[in-house]
Amino acid sequence: MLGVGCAGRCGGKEASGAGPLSREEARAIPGVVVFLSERAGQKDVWTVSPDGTETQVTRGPEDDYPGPVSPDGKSLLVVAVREERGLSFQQLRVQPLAGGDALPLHAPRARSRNASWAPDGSWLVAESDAQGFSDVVRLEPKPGVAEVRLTQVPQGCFEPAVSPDGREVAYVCSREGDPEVYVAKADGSEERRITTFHREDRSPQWSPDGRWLLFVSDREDRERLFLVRPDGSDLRAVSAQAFAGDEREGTFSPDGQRLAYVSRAPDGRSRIWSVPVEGGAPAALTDGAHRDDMPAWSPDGKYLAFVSERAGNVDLYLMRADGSGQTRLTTAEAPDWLPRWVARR
Amino acid sequence: MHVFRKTLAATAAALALTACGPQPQPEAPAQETPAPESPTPAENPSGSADDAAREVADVARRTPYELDALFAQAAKEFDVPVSLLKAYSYAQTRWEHIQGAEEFEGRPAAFGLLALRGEQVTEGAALAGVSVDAVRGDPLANLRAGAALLSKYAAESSLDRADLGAWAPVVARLSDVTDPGAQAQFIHGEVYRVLREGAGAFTPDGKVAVSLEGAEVEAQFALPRVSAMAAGPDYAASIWRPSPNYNARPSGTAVSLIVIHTCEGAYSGCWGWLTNSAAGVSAHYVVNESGSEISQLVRESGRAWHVGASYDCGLNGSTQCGLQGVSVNHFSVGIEHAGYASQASFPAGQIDASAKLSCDITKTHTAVTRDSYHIVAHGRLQPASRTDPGPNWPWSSYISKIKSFCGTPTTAIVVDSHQANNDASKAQVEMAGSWAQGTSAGYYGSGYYYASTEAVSAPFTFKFYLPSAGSKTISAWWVAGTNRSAAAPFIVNHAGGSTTVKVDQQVNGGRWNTLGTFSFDAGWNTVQLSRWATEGFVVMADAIKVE
Repeated sequence: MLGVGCAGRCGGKEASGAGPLSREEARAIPGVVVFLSERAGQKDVWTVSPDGTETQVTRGPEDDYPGPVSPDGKSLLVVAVREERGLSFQQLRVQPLAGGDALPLHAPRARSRNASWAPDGSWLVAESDAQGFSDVVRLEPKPGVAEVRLTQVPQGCFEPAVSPDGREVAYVCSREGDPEVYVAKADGSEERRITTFHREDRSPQWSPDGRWLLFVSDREDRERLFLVRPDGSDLRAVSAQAFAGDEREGTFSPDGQRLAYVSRAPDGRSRIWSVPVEGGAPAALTDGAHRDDMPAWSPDGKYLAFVSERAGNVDLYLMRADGSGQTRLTTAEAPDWLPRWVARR
Repeated sequence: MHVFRKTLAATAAALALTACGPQPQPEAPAQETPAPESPTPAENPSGSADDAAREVADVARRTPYELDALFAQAAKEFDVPVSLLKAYSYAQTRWEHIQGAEEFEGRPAAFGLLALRGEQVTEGAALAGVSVDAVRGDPLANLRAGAALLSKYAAESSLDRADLGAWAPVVARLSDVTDPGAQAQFIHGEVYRVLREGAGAFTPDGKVAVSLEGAEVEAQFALPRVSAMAAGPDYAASIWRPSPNYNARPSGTAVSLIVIHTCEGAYSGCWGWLTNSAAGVSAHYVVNESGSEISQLVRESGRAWHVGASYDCGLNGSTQCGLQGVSVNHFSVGIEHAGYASQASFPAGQIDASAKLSCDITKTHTAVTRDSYHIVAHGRLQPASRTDPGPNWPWSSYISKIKSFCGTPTTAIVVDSHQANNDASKAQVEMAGSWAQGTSAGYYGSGYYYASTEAVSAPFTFKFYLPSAGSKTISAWWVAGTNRSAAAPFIVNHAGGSTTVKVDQQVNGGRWNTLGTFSFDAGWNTVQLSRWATEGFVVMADAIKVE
């Protein structure tokens, strides 16, 4: 049985709550949304407040992708990307959100991405090819500090995530011939293996209380989100018996009680769901008639920003955490996507 | 012509299957290929009615509208043969109203059913009296713009409009293919081939989207040069069409990535463009729409000029290269695929052909691990991507097809205790009596099953399918613990009878432990874990490996 939050129809007139969010309600949301917009031709980072006020943060000429927001909410990690003569260059930069110049963390190279901040903001981890195909490295958000290699696996390690207490890092390595999830201490020592299966286990992330790891696996010959304890025990599928299409983009609510995620149908339509982390039936937050994806929880956990193509363009939308009050937030003709919240202080 | 009718009938049958879910194979194909007695141990585990139905549904998604009337309207208005308009559209887009992207610098993106590009869009819009946006976004406007252009070119060359074969040079002019060899292939092998053979497409609801009856016709156009086609130097199942657009890889660098691209256009135009020195771009391989032909353009040992995350240490005085002067940057082999990133699905034949090619590349370049971190889309080189690989490139099945094509008779079969993790065509589990699920750390897959020891059989059965008889080594995985049986009885049922192997599950957990090597018959075989052991403990059924 599926718990359907809005009986198969969400948004618009038939949303379970009252129609679009009122301006007053939107204004009271304690955060702004950082996102990627292609409206200037290249990809840039912009912000939009829940009442629709937009500000451009980066201005080309490269493509700038918004990475994670620093724990103090004052800056954003940006991945600047350009392609030149068949070569690909990436560079991590710390971009102050109040404006000002971005601080590049290294020279441009072919792989520098998937960064994750330590909880005190004094260091971060990312994928790097400075010394190998793809290593997990530790960087500091200061000029001139050499990066430290946490993994040395010829087949590569990927997608690191720092634990909420800053003591451990979860990541993926392909050393067994297929990607598996590992956890090591923050200095790379005492690595332990979390998953063991001959298909792909990818994209680990920590629950806010550090008691769970969420990851994606195709072990059932379909993409599913799984939860597992950081000691490797208690593995289970997030959607249990309620699989509704390839699962992706799982994200924990700030209080760690719920997970929002996306299921994708073979025809490309996708739907956003919410499920209790401790188990239970997933509730559909969008109606599945369009492509709705990339859910991002507001800092107070009461709202989700997401991306939808329901009106033709790729734009940002807002909704309450139960799927009601679906409201278009950006209207540019060019795609707006990859939302991330910054708490308003 | 009968081909189209046959296609129609087969597609209608498959659509019926899509509507009803998995069903037994229809009778007709069974006459040609008698059903095997036991499940086919397919090298490529697909081919069930379910897969066939899915494939038909995939194809139908590309043509969600009934388009015959639109083709007829545009053709009539501009006095262009409707079959020619349909054949051109089929060759370019498989009748999908595409929204292209610029894949190669200098070659504008293609739009709509006719894949009109650049100035064609502007000129066609003016001739048809519609806006540029309409030509890009509206199927009828796109057809009218293309028909208007064809009509104009026809008037300029004062051809006999009733002579279908005479339109060939006009068709070549509408395409942006300029290389003479590629042009000849596009005209004879793509546009006029479908005119001769006919084709059809359905909407997802099973209505006819486009129908094109085949007819005898010969293009009045230079034939492709009939020199013997040489095979590609690195892939025998390819045609060698060398491109000048490459240079040497720095010495000591290993290929560690395969990068998947879409041509944003049809096959001939794609390799034609990439072998033109003026284009300044290339890829190692191009796979055609159906998977029936692959061109190799650059040796795998060379660096093709496709965006491939490769990084040239010489570019910036080596200052940006790895520390300690080690060149560690990753280099890639690039595969272009005829078609568009935006298309609703990719043909199964193209995916298969590409997966075989990728398998071959990974055999030569062993640093390319067969996973989605090493076989990536152009877009996956970037931190996040919405549009590229093409959201509809079937990643998971592509990688598993590569692994499957690279499999050998000695490839291990793992039978996991969680049936959802097994390929049911070769691995299954059954349990008798009550077995409980457990998830203490150290298991294989998603957990294990356990049961108390007692004097009952009620075993946990691991089943595996062997396409031929042979000697196999069996290993078992368990999670160790003090309450486990020190003599857990695995019963191996082999060609010579049954052998019980007792293992101590209090130790050696979280790894493969060999039970022995046995001869097995072809077909389904079993290894069972019995509960019949000293009471007061549990036995653990987690996974077995057959190799």
